[in-house]
Amino acid sequence: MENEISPLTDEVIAAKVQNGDVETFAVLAGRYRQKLIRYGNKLVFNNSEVEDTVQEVLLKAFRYIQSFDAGQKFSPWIYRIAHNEFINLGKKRSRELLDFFDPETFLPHLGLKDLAENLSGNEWAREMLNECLDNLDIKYQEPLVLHYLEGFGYKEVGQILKIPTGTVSIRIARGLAKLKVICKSSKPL
Amino acid sequence: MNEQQQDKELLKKIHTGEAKMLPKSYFTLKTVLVALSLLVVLVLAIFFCSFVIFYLRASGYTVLPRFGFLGLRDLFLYFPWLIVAVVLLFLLSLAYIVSKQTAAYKTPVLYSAGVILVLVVVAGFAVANTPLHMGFLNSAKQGDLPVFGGLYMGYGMMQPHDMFIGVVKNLQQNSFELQTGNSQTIFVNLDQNTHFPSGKIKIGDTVMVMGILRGSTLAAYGVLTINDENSAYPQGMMPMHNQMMGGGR
Repeated sequence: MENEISPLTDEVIAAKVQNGDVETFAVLAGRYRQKLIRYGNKLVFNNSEVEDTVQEVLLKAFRYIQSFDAGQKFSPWIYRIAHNEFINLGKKRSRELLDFFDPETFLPHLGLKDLAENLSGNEWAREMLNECLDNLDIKYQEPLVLHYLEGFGYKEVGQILKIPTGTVSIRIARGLAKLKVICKSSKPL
Repeated sequence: MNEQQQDKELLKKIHTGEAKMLPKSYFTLKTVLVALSLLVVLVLAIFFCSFVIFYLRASGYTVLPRFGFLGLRDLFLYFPWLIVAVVLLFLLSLAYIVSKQTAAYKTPVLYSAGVILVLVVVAGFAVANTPLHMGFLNSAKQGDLPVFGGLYMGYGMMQPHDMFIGVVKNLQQNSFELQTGNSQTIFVNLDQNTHFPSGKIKIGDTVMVMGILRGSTLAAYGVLTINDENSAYPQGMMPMHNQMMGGGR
């Protein structure tokens, strides 16, 4: 079935599932399982429950598929479900409430100046992420992982985390700066 | 369990009905419920905000800043901070629900919270200008207002310690006698620090006096005429506590 359906976009497949073709959900599951496990491992640090949680994410995605707007992109939608599950797994739910009062969410424009020392090259950022992510605050981890490792644009990262795009860019810039410091201190030359 | 097994397991749960797709109506209902809860919180926020405005007007506190520093101090002391805190709590809840349940997360929280605040305050002023609260106050006095009756009675009975309303009698250069609604006579002393924001007073004027009461003598720091249309006193209302106490001009 994967071969017949593989040229179809995620959104078209999701629409098929919504219309009752439940078998095709397996295609979506196949496309996202490994991506979500990778995302989960980055956030909850190889927790043994990540695979089970991803299974839960996929089941939840199936249950909630009717709430998906086929006119939108599917990937931010399923990553939003995954984000919630991983946050629960890491017992970091209170982070969501704290996010609401975070100055970066409250008025992101205040921090836009910080973007001056911007991201100089994705490769460098990816390398740092792979090596030093563990000690970074979750609020910076997620945007960095979603942008550099999962390939989402700022707008989509905002959609997944439910924060303004301005906040995403600030967190990515600040996250990288912090990551640089962490990497330097953990690997003295 | 490898990936293939997990896929099989997933499909098995789907086929056996263990994982059931929720119908579209479930999400429609959820959206309606979220919208309804937003509406309820919004209405409550507007109601309490308008109550604060009504209370400040009906109690006469809005004129306190015109009595100088002591008036401002008393306004601060008698301000219904608890209700203001309740309004703020509703506003924060609204901003949180809006930012998490709608596309409003795309804008900074400060903007959405600001829009909600302006909406609540403007609507609060509009509601405060309707007869709603006066009607509720009257119902509360008759014991006909079940849920919010305590609110009106509680705040209505909260009389500022040294605020009096009455008619000016026996006016002298530095004093006058004030005949209050319950036929009590208070001797009011005036000095160079007493504020007269509505100008000089004359015998027969109905005035609101704030000051420090010792025995039956009040050292006034502010005297405001409230018996003409141009007075600062809003809508010709008698202060709420005065109504509650059965007082009057």
